[in-house]
Parts: sequence; C-alpha cells; structure tokens
Amino acid sequence: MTTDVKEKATFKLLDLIDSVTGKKSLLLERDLSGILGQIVTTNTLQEHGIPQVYWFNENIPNDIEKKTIYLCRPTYENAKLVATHVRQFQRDMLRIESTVIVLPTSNILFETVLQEEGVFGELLVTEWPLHAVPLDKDLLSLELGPEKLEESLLQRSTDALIDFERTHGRFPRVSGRGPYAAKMLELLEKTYQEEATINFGKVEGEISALYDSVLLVDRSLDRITPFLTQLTYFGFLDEILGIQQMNVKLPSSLVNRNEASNTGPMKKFSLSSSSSQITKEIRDINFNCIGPYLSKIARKLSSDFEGRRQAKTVNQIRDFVSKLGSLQSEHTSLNIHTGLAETLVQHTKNNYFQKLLQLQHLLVSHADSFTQFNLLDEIIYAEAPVEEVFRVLCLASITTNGLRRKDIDHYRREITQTYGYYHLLTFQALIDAGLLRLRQSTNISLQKSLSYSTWLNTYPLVKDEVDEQNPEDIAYTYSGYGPLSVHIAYDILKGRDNEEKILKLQNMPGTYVDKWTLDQEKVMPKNLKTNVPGKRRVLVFFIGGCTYTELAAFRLLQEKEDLYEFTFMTTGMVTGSSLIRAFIPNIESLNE
Amino acid sequence: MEPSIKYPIYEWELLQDTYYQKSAIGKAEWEYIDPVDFMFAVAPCGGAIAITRSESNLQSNYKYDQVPMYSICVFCLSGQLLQTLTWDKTSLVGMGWNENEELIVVSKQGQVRVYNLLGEFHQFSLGKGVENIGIRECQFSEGGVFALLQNDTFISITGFEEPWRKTYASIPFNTLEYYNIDSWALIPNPFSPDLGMDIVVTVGPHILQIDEQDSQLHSISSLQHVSHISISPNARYLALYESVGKVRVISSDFSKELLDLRLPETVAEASLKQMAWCGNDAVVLVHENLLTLVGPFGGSVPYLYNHTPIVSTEVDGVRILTKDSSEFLRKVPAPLENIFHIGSKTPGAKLVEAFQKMKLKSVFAEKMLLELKDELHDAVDTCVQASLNEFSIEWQKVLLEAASLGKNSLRMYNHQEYVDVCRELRVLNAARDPNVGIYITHEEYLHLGLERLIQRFSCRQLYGLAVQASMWMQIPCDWVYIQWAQTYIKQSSEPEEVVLDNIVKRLSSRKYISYEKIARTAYQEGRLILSTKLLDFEPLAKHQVMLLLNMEAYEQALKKVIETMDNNLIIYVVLQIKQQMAIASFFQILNEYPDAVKVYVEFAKKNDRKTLHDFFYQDDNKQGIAVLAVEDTLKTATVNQRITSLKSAAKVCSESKELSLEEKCLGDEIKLLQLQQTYEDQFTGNFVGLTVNEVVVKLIQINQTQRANKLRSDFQIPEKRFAWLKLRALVAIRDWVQIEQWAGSMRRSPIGFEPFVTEILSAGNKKEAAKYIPRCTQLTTQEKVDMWVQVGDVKSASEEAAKSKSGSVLGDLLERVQTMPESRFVQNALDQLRR
Repeated sequence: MTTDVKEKATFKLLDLIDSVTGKKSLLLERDLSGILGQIVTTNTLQEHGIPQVYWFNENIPNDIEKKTIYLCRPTYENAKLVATHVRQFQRDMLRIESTVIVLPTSNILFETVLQEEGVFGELLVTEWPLHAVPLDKDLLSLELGPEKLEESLLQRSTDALIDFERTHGRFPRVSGRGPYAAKMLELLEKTYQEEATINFGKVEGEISALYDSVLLVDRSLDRITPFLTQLTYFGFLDEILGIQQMNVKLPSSLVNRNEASNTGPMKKFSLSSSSSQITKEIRDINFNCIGPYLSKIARKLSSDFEGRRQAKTVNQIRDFVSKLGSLQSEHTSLNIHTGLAETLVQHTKNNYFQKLLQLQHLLVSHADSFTQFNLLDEIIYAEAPVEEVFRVLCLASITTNGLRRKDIDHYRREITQTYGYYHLLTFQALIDAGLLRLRQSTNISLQKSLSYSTWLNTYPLVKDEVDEQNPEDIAYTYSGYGPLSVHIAYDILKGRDNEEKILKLQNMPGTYVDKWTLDQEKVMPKNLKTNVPGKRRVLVFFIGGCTYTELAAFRLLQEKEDLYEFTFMTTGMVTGSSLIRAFIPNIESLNE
Repeated sequence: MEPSIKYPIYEWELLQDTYYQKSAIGKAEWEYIDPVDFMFAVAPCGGAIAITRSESNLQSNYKYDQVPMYSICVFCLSGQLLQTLTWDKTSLVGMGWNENEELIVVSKQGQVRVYNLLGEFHQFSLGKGVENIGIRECQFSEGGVFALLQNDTFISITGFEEPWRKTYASIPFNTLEYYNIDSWALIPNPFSPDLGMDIVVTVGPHILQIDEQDSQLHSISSLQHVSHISISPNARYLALYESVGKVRVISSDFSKELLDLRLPETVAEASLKQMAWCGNDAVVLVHENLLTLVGPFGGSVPYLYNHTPIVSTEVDGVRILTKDSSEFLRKVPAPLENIFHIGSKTPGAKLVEAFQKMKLKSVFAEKMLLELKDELHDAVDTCVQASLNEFSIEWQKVLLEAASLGKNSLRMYNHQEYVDVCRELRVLNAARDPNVGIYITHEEYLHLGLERLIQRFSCRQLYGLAVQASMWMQIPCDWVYIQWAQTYIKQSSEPEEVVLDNIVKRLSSRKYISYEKIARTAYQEGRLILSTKLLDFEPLAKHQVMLLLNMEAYEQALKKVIETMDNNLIIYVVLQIKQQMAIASFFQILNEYPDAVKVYVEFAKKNDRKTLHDFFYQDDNKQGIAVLAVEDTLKTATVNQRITSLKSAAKVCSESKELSLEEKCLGDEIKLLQLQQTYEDQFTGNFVGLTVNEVVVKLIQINQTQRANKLRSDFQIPEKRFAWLKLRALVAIRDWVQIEQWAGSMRRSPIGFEPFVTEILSAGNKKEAAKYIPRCTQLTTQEKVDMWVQVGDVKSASEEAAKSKSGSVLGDLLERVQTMPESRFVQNALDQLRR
C-alpha cells in the first residue's frame, strides 16, 4: 500500500530534478537527509546529474556546479538563506541557475521573503508534494520532527490526510477524542469547504471503498506514554540508539565485527519489515523475550542450511539454491539483530536503568511521592542523561497533578549544577508548554476530573502480571503499563456504534468527535458491500507523534481480536527524549 | 394545415437558386429616434445598439433632441433603452463593440474609453503623436481599434486591458498625389494571421494592402473609382463598390474575381449609404430607402423601406434597423429549407407531415411513418436542427414534437442530444424575448459562446434570467450572484446594515459562494463597515485575510488569520502589520491576540530578537525578557563575554521577585566561571565551561580536596551528591588509598557503602571493592552474598550465607559456584547446617 506512495514520490522528485538539465549540485537541508535517503539512493542521484550533495547552510561550496538545486522546507529561515546564496552568486559574478524544491508545498511567507529579498525572479520554486513518507507497509510519517505539540501541526496533518484521500478516496467517517482531534476535524471540513468554493460546489473524490474510517489519536490527551521507556524491541532501539526513517545507526562495535567477518561495512541498517522476515517477526516483541526468540530463529536457520546435505536430486539442489539467497540475507539480518540486542542488554546494566523503570512504574501506579524523589535523586547522582531526568519530572507532574514549588526548585538546583545552568531555559520552556506544572491550591475539583487518576479509573492501564512471551494485553509493551492513547482510541472504535457506550464516550474528558462524511445511510450499504466481511480497515492518525510501542499495541489488538486492519499515519515518530530535546537550547562552547 | 401558423416560406425570397429569409424580429421603439440620423454601432451576435450625435448634427433642432448632447444612448434590439452613457465634450470619431459587449468610444483627439452596460468605463490615450495629428476615421475588430489619422496614416491599438500600439507603413506619396483615401477595411495578414490585421485601402482606382513594414499595390483590371470596400465575416472575400454603380467581389488574396455586377441605372443614380455583407455569401447595398441584396452569382433582390435603414453584418446574415422596425436578413439555413421548401419530399418534411396528420388523427400518419424506414434517423436529426434555427416558437414546437415522434420509434437514438437541444432553445428563446432584446441566432450563439451570452444577461441586470439559464445549461452560476451583489453595492444608497442584510439573505442559499469579491467592491466604494462584515461570510480564510490586510483592517486580519491555524500565514500577516504600523501600535494590537503572540514569539526569537525584547518590555513581561537574556548568554563565545552577558541576565532577573532563584543560579554561574578562570591559571587542565559537578570532580582528581570542599559550601552542594562526586573522582584516578582513608574517617556514609563496592568493582579492582562489603549494613543477606560472589570471595560468601541459617540461600549459592574449587566452603557450611 505505501509502496505506491514511495514510487510516486520517487518519480515526482526525479522529474523535478530532471527539469534542471545537465550537471547540477544538490544543497540539502540537513533535516531532510533521512527522508531523501528513504526515497532515492546516491547512485540514482548521480545518474540524474547530481554528482555531489552538500549540506544547505551559510557556507557555499567552492566547487559548486553552474546549476544548483536546493531541497528544503519552505521556512522563513530557509528563504533568507537561499537569498543570501543567490546574492553571493551575484556578487561573485557567477551565473548560477538556481532551483528550489520545497517539501511538501510552498507558502506565502516563503515566497514573500524571497520577493522582498529581491531574488524571487532569479529562482524557480517548485514543490515536491510528499506529505507523508512511507516508513513501512502500514506506516506513514509526516516527519515533522520532534516538534512541540502546537496548532501548526494541524495544517500539515490536514494536508497530508487530504493528499492520502485523493489516492484512496475520502474516509466515510472521522472519529477521535481531544482538542487537537476536534480542531483537525474542523480544519478538514473547512479545507474541503474551501475547495468546494473554488470549484463551485463540486467536491472532488468519492467515498473510499477501501477504508472504514480514520481514527484521530490526540497526543495532548496522553502525554504520559512517550515519557515512559519503551520496552518493545523497536521501541527500545529507538530509545537507546535512535531510529531515523526506519533506519538504525549501527554501533561501531557491530561495524567492526561485520568488517572482520567480510560482510562489508554497514553504517545503517534498515528496519523496514519488507527488508527482512526476521525484522518483521521481532519488531514488536517485548525486549525481555528477544534473546530466546533470536536463539530459536538461529536454530531454525541452521536447520535450513542443513538442507544442503539433504539435497540429493537435481530438483532438490535447485530448490535449495533458490532459497540460499534469502537464507543468507536472513542470516545477515539475524547477526545484526543479535548484535543490536546485545548492545541493548549492555544498556540495561548501567547504574540507573533499573531505577528508572522502577520509578516510572511507581509513578504510573500512583504510589507515594517520597520514594519517587529519592529514586530520582539517585538517578541524577548516577549522571543519567538529562533527558531521562526531565522525562521523569514531566511524568511525575502529570501523574501527581503538578509538582510542589519546593520540589521544582530542588531539581532546578540539582539539574543546573549537574548538567548546566542553561537548563533554566529547559525548565521554563517545559513549564510554558504545560508539560511541567506547579500544583495549584485552587480548582481542586476541576483538576481532579482532568487528572491522570480519572484515566486510571476508567481504563485498566496498569497490570501487575503481564505475559510478555505470549501477550494478551497491550500492557506488555511497557511490562505492566498499557498505552493510554491506545485505550482511548480503541474504546472509541469499539463503542462508537453502541448507543449506551456513545453516551459514556461523550462524557469522558476531552472532546469526542465522530463525523460521517455523508449521511450515514448513504455510506453504510456501499461500505458493507465492498469490504471484506468482518475485517474493517482503519487509518489511525497520530496528532503529535507516536511511539513504536503504540504501534505494537494496535498491532496486538489487530491480531488478537481480528476485527480491524490498521494503517498508521503520524506527524512523526517520538520518544520521550526526542520530545524533551525540542525544549533544550543549544549552548556555544567557550574559548579562552 | 393549421391556418393560425404562418408558414415559414412566406418570408423567403428566392435569389437565383438560393432562398433568403428576412424576418421581422420585433417592433422597434427607439423612443422616436431614427437611427440613421445619428452615429451608431451595433454589437455583434444580436447585441445592443449605441446611438449618439455625430459632429454633423450637433446643432440643436427638433429632429435630434431625443439624444441629449454629449450622451450615448444604448438600446437593445427591441428598442428598450438600456443605459445612457456620458461622454466628455469632445468630438467623437467612432464607436464599436467588442464581443464582451463593451462599447469602445474614440474621440478625434485619440482618447479611448471602454464602457460596460452599467456605465462604468476605463480609458486610455492613443498617444501624444495621435493627439497632435487627430483622427479622421476608425474601425473596430475583435479586441482592437484601428484609426486613420488626418495625415493619411494608420495605427492600431489592441488589448484594452494593456493597450499595445502598432504603426502601419505610409501610403506612397505618388499614390496620394492625385487621389484621396476613399475607403479602407481590415484583412488578416496573409502570411501570419497571428501577427494581426493588415489594412486594405482604396485610393481612387488603386487598392493597396498595408502592414507594419510595407504597402503593396494590387492590380485589378478595369477598376474605377472605389467608394466603398467591405470584407466578409470569414475574411475570405472583399466587396468593392465603384462609384459608377458597379459591385465587385474578389477573393481576399486578390487572386480571383468572383462577381462583377452593374446595378440598374435607377439604383446607381442614388448615392450609396452603406455596403455590408450578409453572412459570407451575399452583399447588401443601401441606397436611400432601397436595400438591395446581391447574391454570389450576380442576381439581386430589392427591398423598399419607408425609412432609410442601417445595416450591420453578422456571422450568418445582416441586421436591418429602421425607425420603426428591427429585422434580420439571412440565407435560409439548410435544415429549414430541407423541411419547408414547397413540395419538399425530404425525410424531414415527411416526418413533419406525418406528425401533423397524426394530430388530425389521420389514418395516413402511421403509413407515412413506416415509409420513412431507414430515413427516419436522418429525419429526426433534420427536425432537431431545424428547430434550433427556427425563430417562431410555435414552429419550434412542431419540429420538436415531430422529432420526438420519430425518435421514439428508433431503437438506438441518443436522447441526450435531444435534451441538449431543448435546453439550448430555452436559452435562445429567453434571449429573444422582447423584454430582453437579444435577437441571437443559433449560429451566432455558437460563435459567441454560452458563458458570454449569460454574461450579457447579467450585464443587463437580468440576474434571474442569468441564474435560470445557468441552471438549464448546468454550469456554475455563483458569479451571477456576486455580480448582482457588486452592482447592488455600487448603486444602492441604503444604510449599510440594510445592504448587508439583503445581500446575505439573497446569497445564503449559495452554500459555497465566495464573498471576497463582494467585500472588495464594498471597500472600493468606501463602505468599510459593510466590507468587513461581508468578509465574515467568506469561506476561504486566506481570501479574508488578504483583503483585510489590503483594507488596512489589521486587527480583523489578525483575528481571522489565527483561525486558519496556519503558522506561515500568521507570521506573514504579523510581519505585514509590523511594516505598516508604528511599533507601539503594533505591540498594542498584538497584545490582544495571545495566539498570534505565541507564534510571533517563536518566530522572533530566531529572527528579530530586538523587537521581541521591546515587545516584552512594553508588556512588562520580565520573564520573557529574562528568557531572552539567558538565551543570549548561550551565544557568547568567550568567558569574559559570557560573564558580562550573565551579569546582564542576572540584573534582569533581580527586578522580579518570581525570578529570584534564577537570579541566584546565574550568580552562581558567574562565580563558577570566575573560579574556573582562576583554576586554569593555577593548575594544568581545562576548567572553563564545566558544570559545578565536573569542576568538583576535577579538583579532587588533581588532589585539591580543600578547594573542592570550599566549592561544596559555596554552591551548597548536598552531602549525598558531593559524596558521589568524590567517590567517582577517586575511582577514576584509581586512588584506592585515599578512598580507604576517606571511608575510614566516616562512621556512616551519606550514600551508604554500596556505591563504593559497585564503583570500584566497575573499575575492575575486586580486591579493593571487597573491603567495603562488610560495611554495607543496609543490604539484605542475599544482596551481600551476591556482592561477595562478584568480587570472587566464595569463602566470605558462604560465611555470610551461613549467618542466615537458611538452607535455600546456601543451596542457591552452591549451585552458582559448584564449578569452583572454593565450593567446598559452601558445602561445609551446608553440612554444618544440616547436622
């Protein structure tokens, strides 16, 4: 399904590149390098006349070609930077022909700045309308980065969703909960209304025969889940090593090992499920079970290789040889996964990790606060990464309905002395964003109704006994905590057609939205006719990002209940640390 | 036969072997004006007629008073006055219409105005050179004005929105030596039609063709003085009138002579007033009250009038207007001739006859229908096409009903075509209604286009008809409502709330209509409140925002742009407002919209910190200023710069009680940096930029424990943290002796002694780590046993386990160490327990 999206994006980009004839240089915004790598290879770029790719920054390469292509987001800063380049070309009397490819669409601010800088006439501005990058067969991401949750995400989310609808048809139904979900639905309707105005009442596109509905998951309702340490294999990989556009950077120890074993250097490893059957099987497994599972796979591969000795006849030999390629590829994949798993295991043995898990569990279980902060002090003394400390503080702020002033002050001192004075700014930014809150002495009843304890009482978020080996409950993703976001979303999915449950859905915290694109009666019969009986396809859209554990939870529900088939679209993949990093300022290193 | 319906053929005249039809299409009531006495222009495709006084009749007398001085009266072809246009007090040289039914008026001094039917106009000049010379005559083609100047040269202007001027080559001097220019016409450039029009000029007996570069003399045998020249609508033929009373028609490339006709003496004696083409195959001549139709093969038909007519060429005929009549003369369309020719036995004629007999319940009807057999499809098509070309509604019905009778007998007939024809006829008949007065034929309709026809309805303020016709033809009609509203705003003197109410009421049925153009019109008319309120109904937020900015309604623009949730647009609007306003006003308006402030702050932090600082300052936002100040400290590159910056930030924080902790923290950082500079002077190694913790560790590692202790008190480092730092520092430099001394000096460690074991063990020194296991008094027995095993002391582990007197603890231990030689200690302890 997402393969067409990728092919389409590739063709479009190469079309844009080929519209600039001859040899040219590509100046690439650093943040887009992962997306570009997902779509085309370096070899492909060379075949299309781009021998060299440079980072797009203040420095202009000396050996730049006579034609240049800038690939960047259409931001104010990038417009200024392009203008600086063009004026420098003019000062140097260089006849550089410049083209700007913006991802995904241009905007009035970007173009106005270019005009005001006097360079708009010197440029060709084109659009590469790739709104969502396919990361896996069932996963698309807008790749908006670890941005703060704010309303500007909604515009781009709406654009991406409408772009998806142009290919797959309009969703018959939109459901969700939360302020951002409600606003996004409103924006969706408004955008279609605007399109109808432009087209004199004609709205393009038919109702999708493929999708039952889109389910909006609002990150603002569940700020807890990202701040917990993910414990599925992919989730833990993202926490420890970082996953970028479904690629993981291999630790140097693994690279060295592979070089020694003559498999060639592999700096990056693709985690896409289409690249390896093993990857697909182990991606959502609880990390505690990864070792035994990999051992089992290793034994199976060995027995498959034994097939060589069993091959007696020509046909049997031919069968084995045809399997050999995939066997070798799976073997390579297994080696890498084993190495990655070992790296992750080493991380669990450091002097703060277990304390961190323990503290997180205490917080989501609503235990007493004194023990919590003793543990956090010890984590700081162990010099855990500052992101981990802030994650715990945010988590505590949410679960305990705000921190006491003296506790915040205590940790401001601890953190600034241990990690640097500039984290005063981090504290302030988190407070401004509402992720860190001071406990208020007034409005107690209102705050209680909106607090974490309400959700704790509504859904079985915490389970003490979880079967990680053969999970029955989504709490396996965190070894005892099931993502609140998934509980909320799945509750809507199961309850939205039930008269009694609808009333309950409407009375829960956060705005409940459920909107049919056309009259319900017109959509249902058609839907029932075309869909596979019993299996309904739902696009789950995460506003404000999602974690790999949340995907794993949905996939578990999909597999266990066999009622739905999920496709995921998200503004970006997040971890608690990536969210925190968006609030940490950069500090210049000092010279004498 | 129904005697009440006049048979169409009664209007037909046979000219050699071709029938021509002259139809009276309405009784004209030009308000007692005789058009022939005035300067006039008739719009193509059945459009309006404009009448004004020419220079020759500017003097006042009873005959001309109906047209006021310096006015242009515009009528529809049924004689209704549509509009009176006002003209400046200058002499007119010509008027013409374009296909948008806009009137182009040219003065002798080269001033050009383009009017619409509402009386609005824009104007431009043909240039200073033209003003000085003066214009003698002008002609019009689609999209352009062509002028003959007083100095016998030609120019043209095309594209009225952005006029583009062209100058033609001069006529050779020797040609003009003995003769004057008598007539001229426009002809497409034979080599490149895209290059525009050439001009054909008659000078006495000579004919010249002129383009921008050159003039070419054409030779025509026996040609005498030519007083009139006219080109056919398809530009393929030229008609020439020689003053001796002869008509010639030649091909427009001058290669072939098609007609050479001498008129009767009685006609030739009169002066020719007009010569015009009737479609593309006949020419009409007007001599006083006599109109003569000249056919392509030399025949002629005379028409005598009570009053001198004026004529105007159409693509398919010619319009004839007199004081009391409005007529259309054309070659009879083939489908009509096919059916209505006397004695016609064509399939179409038979089908009509069958239908008429069926209405009379004649037994022969069925038989006639059956006789058509394979010709029935052709018959139906002919009837359908005939109905489109028929003016009489009664005969249209007969033809359509005959066609319907026929098509219902056909198995495979495209009914949609029939439906489309019915729709088109509804529009054409509506246009021909005397109250509308657009007498358009089907061929002219195809030439003009449906959209332009409906546009004509709207320009005549026949909005209901425009909407209805759009619905019949299933095309968008929102633009009609918009035009209605725009005109209403321009013409109404009602209070703004009444106007707003009426517009909204009328447009509320249009769910997706855009109000932006209407609001813009209100703004241009000076109705600011109305404009702003109308914008509230605009569904496209970006349109709202752009117009509000244009109107300098900055507060409303800001309010609207926030609703879009489009940060780029929000920043754009904020920056536009900032450019236009005084800074204090900008801040004031921004303060009212927190959502915009949030977006702007994020933007300005990166791109305009100076303004942001001023913004926070005027709002007395000390925290905002403090954040900026602290952020600025991060950008400094040297210690001294940073200290200066930190002092500045600390000063900002000192002005607010809520920021006292921040102030202290910044003060500590200043103190820390100063100490770091001192340490770098005194000791080797880098200190600058480290955190408090890192400095403590470094000092301990270089054996400056006293200074480390001083930092502890100066920066109020908690006992626990300090202990951790000291331990980690000493382990890093492997100073086991100092660790032992330090541990020995404490009866109780603030962090317990477990970290001593784990940290030293991590450094790989099992022997040293073992020293502190006995002092881990808060650990459980199991935990201590685990530690002993980790340091490799099985004997001590077994002794520890034995204290618990627990078989399970000893059993577990034995299982773990059974491969080691020391496992005998565990075995002995276990045996001891069991004994």
